[in-house]
Amino acid sequence: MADDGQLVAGLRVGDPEAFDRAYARYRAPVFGFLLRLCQDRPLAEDLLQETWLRAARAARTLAPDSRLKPWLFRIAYNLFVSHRRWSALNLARLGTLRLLSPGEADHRTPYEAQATGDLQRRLEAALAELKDEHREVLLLVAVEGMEPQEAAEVLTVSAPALRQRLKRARDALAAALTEEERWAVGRT
Amino acid sequence: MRDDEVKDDLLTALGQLPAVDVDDWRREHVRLGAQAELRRAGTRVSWLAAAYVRVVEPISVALISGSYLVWAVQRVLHFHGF
Repeated sequence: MADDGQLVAGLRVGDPEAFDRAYARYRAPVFGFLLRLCQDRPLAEDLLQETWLRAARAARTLAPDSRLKPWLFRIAYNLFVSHRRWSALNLARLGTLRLLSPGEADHRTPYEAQATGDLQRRLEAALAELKDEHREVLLLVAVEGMEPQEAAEVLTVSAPALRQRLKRARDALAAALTEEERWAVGRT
Repeated sequence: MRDDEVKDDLLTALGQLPAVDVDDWRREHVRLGAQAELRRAGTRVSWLAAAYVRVVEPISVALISGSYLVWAVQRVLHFHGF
C-alpha cells in the first residue's frame, strides 16, 4: 500500500490512481470529521464533495514535503469555517442524528453491543454539545488520531495553543458527561 | 479513579467511535466529479492561468510598483535640488 509521501508525489503530477487511493483512504475520515463538526448529514455531504473538488484542483500545487492528511483536513475545515460564517448552525437537530453506519460488522455480545452503543451515542451527543473550538480539536486529536502538531496545522494555531485547547476540550467533555457515564467510559 | 485517568479514557473512547461514510452512490459521484476536476486542472489553459497568477502577475506588480517608487523618490529629490 502506497504511503502518503508516494500519494503526494502522484497527486503532484495529477495521477488519477494516486487520487483514487487518497480518496479511498481519507474519504470516510474527512466525512466523519465534517459530519461531527456540522451535525448535518446533507451539509456534510456537500462539504465533502467540495473538499475533494478543491483537493483535485490544488493537487498539482502540493509541495513535495506536504503531509496529505493535515492538508485534506485543512481544506475541509476551511470550508466548514466559511459555511459557519454565513450560516448559523441549528444545533437543535442533535437529537435526530444518526451517526452509526448500519452495515458495520459486529462481533460483540448483544449486551456489550447495547452498552457500547449507548455509551457511544452519549459520547456523540456530549461531543455535539461542546463549543466548536473544543469539538474541532477533539475530533482531530482523539477521533482522527492526529498528532498535536498536525492538528495545529489544520486549525492554524500554534502547538502550545492547541495543547491548551485540547486540555480545555477534555475538561468540557468530562463535564458534559454524568458521573455514571464517566465511570462507564473508564470500564471500556 | 483519578480525574486525568478519566480524561485519558475519554479520549480513548472518542477514538473508538464508529467510522461514518457516505452511501455508495454519493461515494462514486464525488469521486467522478473530483477526477474530472483533476483532469481539467491539468489542461494547458489551466496551467497557463496558474502560471500567470503565480508568476507573471506578482512579478509585474513588483516591477511596476518598484519603478513607480523609484520615479517618485527621484522626483522628490529633484524638487528639493538634490
